[in-house]
Amino acid sequence: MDGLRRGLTRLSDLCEGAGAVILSVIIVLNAVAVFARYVLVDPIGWSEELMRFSLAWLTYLAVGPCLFRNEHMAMETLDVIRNEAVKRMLLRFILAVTALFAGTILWFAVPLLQRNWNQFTPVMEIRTFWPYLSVALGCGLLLLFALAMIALSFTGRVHRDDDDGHAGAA
Amino acid sequence: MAVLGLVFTVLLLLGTPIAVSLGIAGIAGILSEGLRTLTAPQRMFTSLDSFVLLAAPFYIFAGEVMYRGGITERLIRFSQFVVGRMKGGTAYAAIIAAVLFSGISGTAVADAAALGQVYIRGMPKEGYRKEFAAALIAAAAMIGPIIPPSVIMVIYAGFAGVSVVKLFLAGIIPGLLMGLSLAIVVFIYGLRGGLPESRPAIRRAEIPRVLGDGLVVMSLPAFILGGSVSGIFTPTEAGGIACVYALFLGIVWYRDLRWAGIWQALKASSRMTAILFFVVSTVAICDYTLTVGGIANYTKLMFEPFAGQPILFLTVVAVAMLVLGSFLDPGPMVILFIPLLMPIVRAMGIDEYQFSMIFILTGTLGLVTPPVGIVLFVSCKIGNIDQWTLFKAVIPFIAAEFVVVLMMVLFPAISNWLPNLV
Repeated sequence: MDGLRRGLTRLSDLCEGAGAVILSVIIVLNAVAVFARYVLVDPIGWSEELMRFSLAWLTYLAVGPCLFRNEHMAMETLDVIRNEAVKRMLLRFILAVTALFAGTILWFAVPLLQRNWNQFTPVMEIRTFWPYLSVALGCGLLLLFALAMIALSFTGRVHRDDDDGHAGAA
Repeated sequence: MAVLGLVFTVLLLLGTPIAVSLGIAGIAGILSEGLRTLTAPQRMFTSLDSFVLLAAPFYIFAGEVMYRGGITERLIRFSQFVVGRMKGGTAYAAIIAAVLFSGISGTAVADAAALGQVYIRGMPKEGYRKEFAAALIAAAAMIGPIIPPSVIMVIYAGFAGVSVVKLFLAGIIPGLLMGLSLAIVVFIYGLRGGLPESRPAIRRAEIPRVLGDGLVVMSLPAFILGGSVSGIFTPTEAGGIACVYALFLGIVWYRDLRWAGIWQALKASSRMTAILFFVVSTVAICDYTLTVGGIANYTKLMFEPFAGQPILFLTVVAVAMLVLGSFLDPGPMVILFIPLLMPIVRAMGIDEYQFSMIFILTGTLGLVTPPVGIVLFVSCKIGNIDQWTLFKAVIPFIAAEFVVVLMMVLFPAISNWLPNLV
């Protein structure tokens, strides 16, 4: 199980790193777009579309790692349960529900991706398949994380416990 | 609709992530209503395909950079300088720091985490009760999403079809009043003799630097609002520029920010964005099911008795959002309820910025109420206090902030005077 844990940590690092790169690209693109419009007086038409699609990719790539870090918003029901066996059962149930959700969306997304193969975005004229792929890939990753964490729950620690700053919501 | 509500409630109570609970409930709704299944992933994508929403990760990242670049400490020193030596001085300084930090962070959690590290741990050493310090910081963090920039306002504007800039302006006076209401509670505690005298550690020679630091940091919200109001850039672009400005301050001006810190800030910001927008995307599935199921008609019927009584309507909304905010975060609340409530608000002739601020403020207060109170949770973790002890300590502060809500209900100018000037 140590190998599974290490693999999951590496995958989490990879996804988070990709998310960080995408965010930096969005920030740079935004600054370049403002510069091009006001200083060069030559607006970049495709920057907005690319930034919007990047936001979806950024979101869905990090959804799985957030599950591994136990950072998704939820009621703290697990914290009030004293009995370790019950706690572990409930954790497995929560992870199974998460896997069910991710798997269902992945399943629903297949025909959607097929339909979008022949459609193109208005500005960049890329296949709309690519932005929609973010949802499918993100849910695929979430499914993988959830299933792996169920497996980890039979041996010991489930969540990643190194901390580089808590991520929370609004 | 009943299936959706039941599935969501059960999963939420069992501790399933809110986003997943909403998603499963939405799928259950789609299946029970016989709707097309591919609309679920489609809605999940289209809900995020918005230029306005892009501002949220920008403001999150700018706040992270400010926090990791040593700017929080500078704001805290500036606040201590403003307050000086007085009874309860550190508590007042914490409120001022929260107000100032709100101008750069945009989220309540960021405020609670950044200020809590200093004040929840530091104030007990001066003689304050730990619960008092944690409760004050948790309540003061509520100002974060009210004073611009604000991540929740960005989401709200996207779903309500109102101007982000005007919404930002609408938050300034209520945010300052919230700070004042907390100061009044601290003052009352001081009168009862429960607060120690502050011991500011700023020497005379340091004053120019402390003042300069404070002014440089405070120039960020002025820059964002000034640029947006004057039309030089959109609020989304302003968020991106704020990131560049925050990086400039951290790397070039103060030289406290290293590449490792920037990388960590990018990673943490992308995760925080994912948490927030994952909920946004799954709420969109529920929203679709509810809309097709005719929720708008039910809502209209529910609010018909309030026709011609805007004050009663706003009070009921405020109380309802306060209760619902205990179970849902402001983001999902905005996405679920705003598309339903905004047409009623407009039909009743209520100022949309007055309503927006009441909705956002009461929804935000839910962040410090159990069972789903992420700011309460963060403050508990920092102070090592149990949730219910902290909740009891935070009640006077929340009550004071709710008085601000009631003032906003009675006096629309508190929230719509500044937006109407633009």
